[in-house]
Amino acid sequence: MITEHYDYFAYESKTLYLFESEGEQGAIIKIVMFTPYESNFWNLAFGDVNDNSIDDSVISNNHDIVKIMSTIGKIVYDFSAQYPTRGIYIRPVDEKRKKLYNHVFRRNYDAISRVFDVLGIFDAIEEEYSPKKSYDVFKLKRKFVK
Amino acid sequence: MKNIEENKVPTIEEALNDPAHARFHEVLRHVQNKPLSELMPKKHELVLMDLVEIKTKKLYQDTPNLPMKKVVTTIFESLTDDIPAPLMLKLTQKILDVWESCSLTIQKNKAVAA
Repeated sequence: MITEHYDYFAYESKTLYLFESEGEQGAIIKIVMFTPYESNFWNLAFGDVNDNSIDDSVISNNHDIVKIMSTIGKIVYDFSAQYPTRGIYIRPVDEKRKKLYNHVFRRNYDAISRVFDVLGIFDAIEEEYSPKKSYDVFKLKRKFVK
Repeated sequence: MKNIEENKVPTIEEALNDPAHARFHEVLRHVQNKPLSELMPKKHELVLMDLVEIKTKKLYQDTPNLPMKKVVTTIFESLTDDIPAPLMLKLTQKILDVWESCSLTIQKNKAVAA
């Protein structure tokens, strides 16, 4: 379920989004990018913008992780509303993020699965997502409502 | 199709008219038209490693007797042209490892069956 989120801004093609996190460390610009992956799946990349370079492994400690994840969730919905036939490939860059993403999917699976078919990949084996398991990669494909 | 999330999202152009988001302009100038390999090399590497593993396994299933040279060239031909040389070395090693692992698994299964 998407709760409070930051306002975000979409580049015209809606493959690049920017928003600003606000917290104890001040304002931090966040970038979310969707880049072509394979077979009409697009890779989701996310990071902090520091001095015009992007750091996708930093822990910014702005104490707003729930709000940030909600914002990314909104962006995913927005991207897939714009491009409903494109799947989304979500690959955490490290173990900490892998745990976080698994937690987010587990907690929000009911809401996510109303909109998306969800696949999980563990040890290079792809299967239908189960909230009882942990995965290395997540794949989302928007459901078509008849 | 039903649109689940009906929020209007301001475009970057709208955001740029807002002085509070002037910094976005600078960010955009920096990131536009740059590939993921340049902007987020670690992420790019992970994603390519995943992709190579999946493609190699699929190729082994389809053509298990393909010569190694053909295996490597077939996989690389399906990837984008912007791969840096050090990453090409890692990807080549990954292809060889996955192919060998698939081959060993088949040999083990045959031995068990015999």
